[in-house]
Amino acid sequence: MPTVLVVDDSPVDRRLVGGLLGKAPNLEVDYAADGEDALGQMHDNLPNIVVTDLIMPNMDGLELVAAVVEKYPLIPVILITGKGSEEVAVEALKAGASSYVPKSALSSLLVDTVENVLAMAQEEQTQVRLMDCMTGCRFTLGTDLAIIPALISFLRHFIRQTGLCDETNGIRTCVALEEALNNALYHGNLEIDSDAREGNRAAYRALIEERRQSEPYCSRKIYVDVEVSREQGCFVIRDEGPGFNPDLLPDPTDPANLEKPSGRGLLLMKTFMDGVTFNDRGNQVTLIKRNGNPNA
Amino acid sequence: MSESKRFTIDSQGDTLIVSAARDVGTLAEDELREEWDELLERLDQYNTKHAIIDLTELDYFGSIMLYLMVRLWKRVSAGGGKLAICNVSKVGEEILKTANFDTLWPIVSSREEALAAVQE
Repeated sequence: MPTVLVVDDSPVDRRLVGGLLGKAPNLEVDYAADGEDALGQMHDNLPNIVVTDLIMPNMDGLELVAAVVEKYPLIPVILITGKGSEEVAVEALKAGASSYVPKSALSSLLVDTVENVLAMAQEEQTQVRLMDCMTGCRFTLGTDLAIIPALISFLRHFIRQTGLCDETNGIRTCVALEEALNNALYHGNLEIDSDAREGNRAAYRALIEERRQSEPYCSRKIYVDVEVSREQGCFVIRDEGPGFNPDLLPDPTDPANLEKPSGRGLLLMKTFMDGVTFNDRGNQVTLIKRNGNPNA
Repeated sequence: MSESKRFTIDSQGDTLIVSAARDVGTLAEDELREEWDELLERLDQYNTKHAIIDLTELDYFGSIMLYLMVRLWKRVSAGGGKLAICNVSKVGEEILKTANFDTLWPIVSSREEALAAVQE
């Protein structure tokens, strides 16, 4: 049965809110006297949802919203607001509160609001548990340019969840993956040379758009295979372009090449990954990231 | 002060200050380049010699951002000015050093230090 933690310094109001929630057949109610008390109780026993008053001593409702969002991002918080505190309600929503209920409408809105927010939160919690079970994924990307940043954002979250990397190493891994994906899209499938960036901006953009719409470029795909465990991540990225010889790229750290537009992507891949290998054709790269401390 | 969608430009004395927004990382390569170029095109309205890139909001960036930095550096250098980078994240600093860009520009921890560095 889901547990609601009701937070209010007024015993009368606590009883009122608890009484309303207690009428719902499937809710269990616990109580805390202020934000600090609530966080202490949550440390020992996590509720499914928090319903909090706004004005309280020690830690008020807004501070509690911020603390819960930071420490327990999957636990929703509903704020009870008094008359004339609409601005605070907006502030609370911005800070991460799931909803708010005006004190004057408690009897008509509270139970429905709690049940609706709980249903949404449970779906999200289940999704997170499902993600915990995921060890790999596969993507087939077309020429949608906005997909790469979205995929990187997903992989950053995924890598972090698997325990392969801490946050910093997760960022390093994503830097390398983003370079590999951009390489596959722009240089691989669209066959756009780095030097094209040097020219006119409109011409560069027009070239990208033209190739995204015309054969053979527009039909080409990027295949991304991801296998991640706590010990190692293996990322294979293959495009359908003609391939390239990575040995022919200029050394971008050579002072003579510092101003040139090419070679830095591969350098970042090699710097932030433990292994970077290309197939013979040069259209597939395998990037390996090892966990330096898998038992941590 | 002037803004593109993801970059803010401001000036202090003879120094131009470019700040990148947090969501620069969500831009596709061509969009990023486009916004940067729009920003460069507006530089003429600022009568500045030096430039600072403030990366406070960015966790990281990639080779395209490095390339855009080079473009700004070339432009500033052509007028006899200097470029400095400030408020770089740990990974951002690793990226700049990997590219050997720490040999080109001072990388410092605050905007004040950057302003001092370009005046040296």
